[in-house]
Amino acid sequence: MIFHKSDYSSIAKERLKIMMESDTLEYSSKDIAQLKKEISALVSRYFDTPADLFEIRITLKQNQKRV
Amino acid sequence: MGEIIVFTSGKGGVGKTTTIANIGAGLSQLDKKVVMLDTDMGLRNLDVVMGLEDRINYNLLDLLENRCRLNQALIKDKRFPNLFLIPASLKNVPLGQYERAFAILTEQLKSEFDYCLIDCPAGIDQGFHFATSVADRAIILITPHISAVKDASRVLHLLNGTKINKVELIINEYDEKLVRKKYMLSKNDIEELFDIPVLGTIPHDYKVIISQNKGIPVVTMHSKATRRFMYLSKQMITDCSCAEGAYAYDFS
Repeated sequence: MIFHKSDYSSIAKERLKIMMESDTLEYSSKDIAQLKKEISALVSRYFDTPADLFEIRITLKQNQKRV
Repeated sequence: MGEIIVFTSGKGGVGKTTTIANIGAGLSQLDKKVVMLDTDMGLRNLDVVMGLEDRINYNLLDLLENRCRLNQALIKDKRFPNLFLIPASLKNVPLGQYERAFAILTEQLKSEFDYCLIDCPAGIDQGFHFATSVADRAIILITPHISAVKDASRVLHLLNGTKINKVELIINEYDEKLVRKKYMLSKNDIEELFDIPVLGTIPHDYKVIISQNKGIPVVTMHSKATRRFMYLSKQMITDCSCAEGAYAYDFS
C-alpha cells in the first residue's frame, strides 16, 4: 500500500490490521513454519537455489491476511 | 443494583490507575456511590495515587480470607461525597483459589454501591482473569502507541468468554495536534480497528503528575485532564441506558 510521505498513522493502522487479524486466525505458528520450510525445500529443489537466497511469504487471498 | 466495571489494558503504564482514581472521584461528584477495588496484588498503587496509603488497615486479601468485615476494609475518601476504596494486598498470592469468594464479595458490593470500579493488573495472567471474572462491563485503556493497541486487541479477544457484555475504549495520552498531522493514530482509526466505541480521550497533562505527587485526584484541580475526566464520568452514566445499539458491543 502507498501512503502519503508523512502519513505515519496509516502505516500504524495497516500494520495493526494485519496483526489483529492474524491474532484471530485459527492456525498454529508451528504449522506455518513447517509449511514455509516445505515450500522452500521444494523451491530449492526446482531452482537449485539455497534457501537463504529467497523468502517465502504467505498471503490468504480472500482477505489479504499475511501469515 | 450497581454495575461492576473492570478497567483493563494488557499493557502496563497506560493509565488504568490514574483513570480509575479520577473517574471514581468524578462519579462520586455526580452523586453516585462508588467503590474502587485494587486487584493488583503485590503492586498496589491506587491507594497511593489517591493519597490514602496511610489509612489502610485491611485489604482485599483480608476480605477474601475472611479476616475482616467489609466495613473494616472499606476506606472512605472524606474529600468526596460517596467514594470508597478497597486496597490490594502487599502480598502477591495466586488468586485462582479466591475467585468464588471474590464473586460473593462483588455481589454484595453491587447491592450497596452504584458503581464498583476494578483496577486490573497489567498482563493477561491469573490476575487479569481474576479481575475480569466478576465484571459486567469492561473499559479497555489504551494509548495511541502501536504496542498498547496490539495488546488491547488481545485483551478484547480474551474478554470473549467472560460474562462481560459491554466493552468500551478510553484513549489516554491523546494529542489532537499530532493526530491532525497524521503522526498519531486517531480516535476514528482506533474505533475502526476494534469495532467498539471510544468513550473518550484524555490528553497528556502535567497536572496529573503534580496531583499524584500530592496524593489528590486531578479532578480537584483546574486542568485540561479534569474536564476530560468529568466528561468521561458523565459519559459512563449516560451510556448506561443507551439502547441505540451503536454503543453496545455484542460478542456473538
